[in-house]
Amino acid sequence: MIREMVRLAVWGLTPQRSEVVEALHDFGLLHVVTPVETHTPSKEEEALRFTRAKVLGMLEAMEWKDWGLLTDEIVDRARDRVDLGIEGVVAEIDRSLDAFRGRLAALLEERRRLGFSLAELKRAHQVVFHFIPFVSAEDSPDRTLSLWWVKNDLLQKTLSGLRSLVQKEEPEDEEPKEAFRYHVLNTEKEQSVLAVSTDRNLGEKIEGFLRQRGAVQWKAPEGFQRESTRTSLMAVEEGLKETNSRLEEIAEEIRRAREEWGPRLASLYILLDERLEETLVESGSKTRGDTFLIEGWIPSDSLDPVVSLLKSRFGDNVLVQWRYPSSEEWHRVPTLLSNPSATRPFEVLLKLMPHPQYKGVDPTSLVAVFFPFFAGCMVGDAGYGALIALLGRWLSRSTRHPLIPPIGKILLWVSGWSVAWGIAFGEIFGDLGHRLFHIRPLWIERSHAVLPVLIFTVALGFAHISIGLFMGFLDGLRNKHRHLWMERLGSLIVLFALFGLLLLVRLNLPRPFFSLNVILLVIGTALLLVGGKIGGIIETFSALGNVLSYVRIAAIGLSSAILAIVATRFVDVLGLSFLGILMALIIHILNFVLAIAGSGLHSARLHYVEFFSKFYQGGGKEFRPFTRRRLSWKKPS
Amino acid sequence: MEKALLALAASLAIGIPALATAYAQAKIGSAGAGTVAEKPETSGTMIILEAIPETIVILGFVVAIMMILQLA
Repeated sequence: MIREMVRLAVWGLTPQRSEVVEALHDFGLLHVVTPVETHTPSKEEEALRFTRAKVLGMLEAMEWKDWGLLTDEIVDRARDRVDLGIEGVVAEIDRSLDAFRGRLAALLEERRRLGFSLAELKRAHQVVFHFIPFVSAEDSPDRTLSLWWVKNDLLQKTLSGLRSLVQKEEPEDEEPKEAFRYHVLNTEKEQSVLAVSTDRNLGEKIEGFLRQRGAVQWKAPEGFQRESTRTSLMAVEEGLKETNSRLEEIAEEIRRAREEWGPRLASLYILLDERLEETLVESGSKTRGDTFLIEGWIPSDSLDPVVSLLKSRFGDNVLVQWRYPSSEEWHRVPTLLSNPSATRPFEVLLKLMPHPQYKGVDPTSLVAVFFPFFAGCMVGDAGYGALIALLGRWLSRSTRHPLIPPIGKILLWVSGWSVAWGIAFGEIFGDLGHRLFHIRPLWIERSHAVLPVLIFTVALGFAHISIGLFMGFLDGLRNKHRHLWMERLGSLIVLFALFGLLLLVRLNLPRPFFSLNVILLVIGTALLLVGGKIGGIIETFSALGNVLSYVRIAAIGLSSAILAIVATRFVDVLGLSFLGILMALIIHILNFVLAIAGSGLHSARLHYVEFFSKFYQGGGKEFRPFTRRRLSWKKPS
Repeated sequence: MEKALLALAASLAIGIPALATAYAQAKIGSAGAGTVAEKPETSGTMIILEAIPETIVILGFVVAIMMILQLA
C-alpha cells in the first residue's frame, strides 16, 4: 500500500527557525522540499562537511566497519558529551582528534612502508631459502661466493665458459671441481639465479667474466646488504621475521584503536551528519522579513501529531498549513510504502526496481503471495523446505546487514510453500521419504508425470499474467490513462478468448461457447487497436510468451527432483558405505544450493519481467524523511 | 529409426536454444557488469535484461517435452 501524502507548510519567526527545524528533525516524518534555486554553501556548512569527511576518512583508515553494531545508546552518549553549537564544535573536534590522528597517521605510514619492504623481502626470500644450505657449505675464508642473475638461454653457455676459465687458470695438478662450484635457481621469469663459489684468487676474474656475459649481480634489498653473501642472506631472513612481527604489532595497535575509537568516531560522524542536515534545511527554507517557511510532504495520518507537536512547543509563533496534492503534482509527491509486518520483508524485492509512483500500484502484497508460492513449487521438497526454514530463521535474526533479516523472513515463507509442495509431490530429500517411510504424493509424482505439472504451471502463468493485466487496467482507469486501460483490457480479453478456444478444442465444448469466444476476441482486438495500435497486438503476443515462460517453474522443479533422486541412488550404487553416503550428501548439498538460488532468481524474474511489465510504473520519488540518523540508520555511502 | 530421430529432434530443440541463450547471456552479462559497476542503480534493469533470453530455452524445453511424450 502507498501511503497518502499531504503538503505541509510551516511558517514561523526567523529567530525560532533552528528550534522549529530541530523539532521537525526529532519528529522525523517530514520529507522536506528544498527550493530548486542554486544553493551557495555557507562557511558553517563547509566546515561541517569537511569535519565529517575527516571523521569518515579516519574510520576508513582504521578499517572500522561495525556500523551495524552501533546502538542508540552509544550515539546518545556522544550527543550528551558533544556541544553541537557549530562555532565551537568543529574546532573542539579538531583539537580532540589531533593527537589521535597523528598517532594513527604514523602507524598507517609505518605499515605502508613496511608493506613495501615486506614485498621486497618476500621476493628475496625465495633466493635466500634456496641458497642458504649451499652458501653455508661454501662459506670459508679461502673462497669467494657471489650470486648472479643470468638469462636462461645463456645459462649453459655461461657455465661452460666458467669451467674453461677455471681450467685455464688452475695449475694442472689440482682438481678443477674444488676450485669452482655452482648452484642454480630457476625462477618463473626468463632469468635464473646462479650461485658461484670459487677460490678467492679467482674471484675477480670470474666476476669480470660474468659481467662480460651480461650477468647482473644479485643483491639483497636495500638495508639488508652486508659484507658477505652469507651474512646478507641471513639479514634478509632475519628482516623478514622482524618485519612480520612489527606488522603484527601495528595491526594489533590499530585493532585496539579501532575498538576504542571506532564507535566514538562513528557516533560523532552521525551527530555531524545530523547537524549538517539541519543546517541545510535551515538554509533551504524561504525567508520573508522576520518569518521563514519550511515546506514538505508528510503522510496524512501523521498530520495531527506533527501539528499538535508544533503548536504545543511554539504556540501561535508557528502557522501550519496543509493540502492534498493536485493530480498535476502527483509526479512530484514522494512514495512511502506501508505494508503489514508479514508482507513488509518483500519490499526488499522492489529495491531492484525503480521506485513506484505516488499514484501507482504497490505490488508488495501480491509479491508476498506469489513469490514464495512459485519458489516453493520449484523446490517442492519437504526435506529441503525444512532446511530452508532453518536457514531463514538464522538469517532473520542476523544483525550483520539490514537487508539480511528480510531475506531470512522471505526464506521462511518459501520454506512453508516448499514443505506444502513437497507433500503434494511426495518428496522428502527426493525419494528418501518414499524409501524410508513409504510416503506417497498427495497430488502427483512430478519426476514421472511431467505433463500435468507443465499444464498446471501454464495455468498458473495465465492467472498471474491476468492479474497483472487487470491491475494495469485499474491503474489506467485511476490515472485516467485511456490508452493504457484499453490496451490492458484488450490484452486481457484476447487472452481469455484464446484460452477459451483452447478449452473448446480440448474439451469439445458446445458451439455457442465458440461464438462467445470469437466475439470476445473481436472486442479484445478492437480495444487493443484503439488503445495501443499495432504495439498493442505485439504486446498481447508478448503476454502469450510470458504465460509460457511460467513453464520454468515445472522445468526447474523437475531438474531439482531428478537431481535429488540421483543423489539418493548413489547409496544404491555404492552401498550403505562412507563413500556412498558422502556422495549422496554432496549431491544433496549442491541441489539444495541450486534450489535456493534457482527458485529465488526465477521467481524474481517471473515477477520483474512477466508480471510487473503489465502494470508496474516506476520513476517515483522515494520518501526520505528529515530524521535523525539513529531512527533510520544506514551506513554512509 | 523414427524414435531415434524424435530423440535427436528433442535434444536439438533444447540444445540449440540453450547455446544461443548462453551466447546472448554472456554478451549481456559482460555489458551489464560494466554498467552496474558504473551505475549500481541499474542492477534491477540488468537482471531483467540478463533474464530475457532464457525464455527461448523454456520454449525449447516445452517442445522437447512434447517430442519425448510422443516417444513414450
